[in-house]
Amino acid sequence: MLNSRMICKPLHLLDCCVETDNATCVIVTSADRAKDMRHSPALIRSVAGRVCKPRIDMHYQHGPITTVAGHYAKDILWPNAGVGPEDVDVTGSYDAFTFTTMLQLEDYGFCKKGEGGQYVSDGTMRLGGRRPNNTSGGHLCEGYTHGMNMVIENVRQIRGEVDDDCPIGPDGKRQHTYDHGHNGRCRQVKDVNVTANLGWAHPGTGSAMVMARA
Amino acid sequence: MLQGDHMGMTLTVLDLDTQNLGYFGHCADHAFHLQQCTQCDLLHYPPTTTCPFCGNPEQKWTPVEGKGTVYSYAEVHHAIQPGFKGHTPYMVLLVELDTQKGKPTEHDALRVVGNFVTPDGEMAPPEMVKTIGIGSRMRMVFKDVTEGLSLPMWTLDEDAPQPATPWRYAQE
Repeated sequence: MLNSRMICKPLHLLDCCVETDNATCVIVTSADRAKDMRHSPALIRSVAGRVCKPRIDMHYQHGPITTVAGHYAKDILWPNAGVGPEDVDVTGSYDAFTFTTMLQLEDYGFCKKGEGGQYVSDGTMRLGGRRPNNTSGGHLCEGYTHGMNMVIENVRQIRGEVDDDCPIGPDGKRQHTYDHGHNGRCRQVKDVNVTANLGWAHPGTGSAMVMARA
Repeated sequence: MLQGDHMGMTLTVLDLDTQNLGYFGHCADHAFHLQQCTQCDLLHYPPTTTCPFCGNPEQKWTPVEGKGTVYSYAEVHHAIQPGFKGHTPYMVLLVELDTQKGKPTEHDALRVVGNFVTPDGEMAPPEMVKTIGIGSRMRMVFKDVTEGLSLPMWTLDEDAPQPATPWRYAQE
């Protein structure tokens, strides 16, 4: 990444996602109705919608500018969910640029403020790590659909139905190997109970959601 | 309507956009003004229809000194507009004005965006870009676009004491 050319310092080319033409769809219904669906549901446990910093018109008028909406959204998100960041198995974080994920992980409490760089590089959020992030590749590597592709991925993680390269068995389902090594093709995280999606409109406005296994 | 060419870009301020007509109109007179709330007396930037602090729609234009300190910056190496490609790397500065600094809370200040330019308003060359960073003292100059439309920009304040080493990203 650091060897790719500079775009806008300190962001290199590979710190920036590509613009992509794609589409996503999420079906939301009552938990009661979901019982009759073919797929096992992922239950929405908490939503914090369009939470803003004190100056919603221009976030950089209210410092520090490294504090983003998640700093305020976390106080809505976690109490409503009844869980905290330590209970989350998989995160999905808006990553139009690399720094957006780092700041959000800090402000939602997955690590201390200023320790996001350590968090994203010490293996915690890799497949096989303590709390994988953006297992489908996120905006940087899968496609840019404003955070919704990470919602779909986390629904699949909770169902145990991640659409990776594992072989399909006689029942028509992926036979996940959980081999996340260098040659492993499996993207499914084992025993996912709780996921968190951290969404970003701009630094001063964001939304988030916690989902759990039914 | 105000319309003019700036480095190959057509800039337009529509008649309905009375806040920006007022803002750039004062800039055209080379006299920086900001809106001040008639209720809570706080200045704000950028121009808006209501006071972001108390919601009062009544505003008046107040002259404000165009001096401050670099709060943050972007150093652009990949220009999008063709007219900017010959000027890379160039800087977009966020300058914190001395006026109303730390009000209404310690986290608030008037932080004004502008390109880093030479004293006569031209894009600062790369050798100048390397000399400034967070903490540098700046003064405002105006780049005339057309009759009634000038852009506020930032140049180094030659008369102000400068930090020995303004904070910059590590050089490549």
